[in-house]
Amino acid sequence: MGEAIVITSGKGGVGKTTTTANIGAALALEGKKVCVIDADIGLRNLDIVLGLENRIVYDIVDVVTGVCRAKQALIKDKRFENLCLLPAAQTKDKNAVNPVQMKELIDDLKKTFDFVIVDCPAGIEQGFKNAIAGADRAIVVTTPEVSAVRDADRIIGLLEAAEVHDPRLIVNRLRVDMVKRGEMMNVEDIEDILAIDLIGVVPDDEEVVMSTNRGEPAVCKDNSISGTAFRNIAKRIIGDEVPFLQFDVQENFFEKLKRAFSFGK
Amino acid sequence: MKGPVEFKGKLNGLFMVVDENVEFDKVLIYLKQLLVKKGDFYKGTRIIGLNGVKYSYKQKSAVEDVIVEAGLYVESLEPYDDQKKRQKPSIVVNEIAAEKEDTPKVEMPEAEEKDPDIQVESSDQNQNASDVNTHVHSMRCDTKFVYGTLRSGSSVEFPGNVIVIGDVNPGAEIIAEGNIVVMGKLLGFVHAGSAGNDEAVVIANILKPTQIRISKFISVPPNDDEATYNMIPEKAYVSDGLIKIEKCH
Repeated sequence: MGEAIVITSGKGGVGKTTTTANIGAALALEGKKVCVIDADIGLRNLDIVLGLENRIVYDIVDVVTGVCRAKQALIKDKRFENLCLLPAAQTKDKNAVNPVQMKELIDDLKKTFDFVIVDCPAGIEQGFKNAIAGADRAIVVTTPEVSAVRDADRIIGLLEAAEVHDPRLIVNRLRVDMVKRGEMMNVEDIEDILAIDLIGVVPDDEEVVMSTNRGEPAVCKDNSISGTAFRNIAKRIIGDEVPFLQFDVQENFFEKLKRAFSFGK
Repeated sequence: MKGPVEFKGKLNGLFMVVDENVEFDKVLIYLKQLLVKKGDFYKGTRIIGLNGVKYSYKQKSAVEDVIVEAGLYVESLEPYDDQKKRQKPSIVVNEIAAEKEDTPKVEMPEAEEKDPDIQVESSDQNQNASDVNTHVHSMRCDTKFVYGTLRSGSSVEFPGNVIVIGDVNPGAEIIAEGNIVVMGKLLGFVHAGSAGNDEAVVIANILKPTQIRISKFISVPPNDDEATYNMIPEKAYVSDGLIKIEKCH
């Protein structure tokens, strides 16, 4: 029996879909059987981020309404043999599915997969309620911005009310240089307000933008720092103890030179 | 024969049902006679509500005097609501001794608060306050304990004191007719003495609310960026028409 994890944030644009794609791919690379579900009906994105858009035949609404079986709608990713995607419908809206149907679907998928990862839509309405319906665990994604942290706080409250206990926190898009200058909230500040356990910090990385546009998760690349961060998160989900990455600002040649000169003065 | 006052029993005490067609003086005389006649029978019971009529603050305190004289306790003379759960974990807290005449004045706490929006809100509150401004002054009030952190979007409203064992995050709100005590960080919105009790206080280990209201007074704490997180609790109270904050020793 597998485990269902919902990736949620409240605020839009903090990186739920990217996180879902990368964690899903990283877990698949660890040898786990993973199914990622796009619960953002009407605004489907996960298929694009994974580069599987052109292979969609059936979607989640077809499955819950009995047009097809779950197995028919699942898209197998050719790069990661253990990864499957259940895409959202683009022409319907959030009310096409209800929480009871979602729970049934996820319980069904949990029989064949080790991890069922649900990409939750932004907001706290029907789509959110659907996405968390079958979840055993939750991962809350936030960025180091006051508005995103405020929404994450609300989401944690709603998760508690829905009896999804012990959510974990991912701080996404952290700019280490800005934190060092004191211009951005640091991870400790965020942990202090939200009071939940951290499962990973992902630095702001151009590589994520490029890989998202190409349709291949950042975890494929061994040398990208964000890819490493996502792989570590996947290991922590499985239960491995992985130390948190220490981010150092990479200085370019000129900055080094400038520093060398300022020492001389 | 039925008199103008009836007592009805509930688990936690009696509530009174008064015939609204009978004059107040007659009701009072009848009540006095009834309690003398029945004597020891009612002694020591609690009165938890007054239904059927709407009495003014003065009338209520006259009723209270008669009842207390006969050896009964008064918990509340507000209309008793059967639907409401009254069995919340509660303790009786000292009466707030405040014998003030209720002449609400429109006073703005800070010079910078001349925002027209806020002014309208506050004068609205004054009107409400004069209607309901009764039982926190004269009667004991309950205390509600909230365990755990109040997160953004959650709201606690209670006709008594509220004690939070945990933090109050920005976006959360507490509205209490009595005092508010937070054993943790208070970063959200609080309104103490919401029914018009100027004596209400707000106490927190770290007092940095987004907005604080006590009775009809509104204040926004100064926007100092330096986080002075010293662990000495602070208290907010009303003095001379302003909300003041000082260290709580």
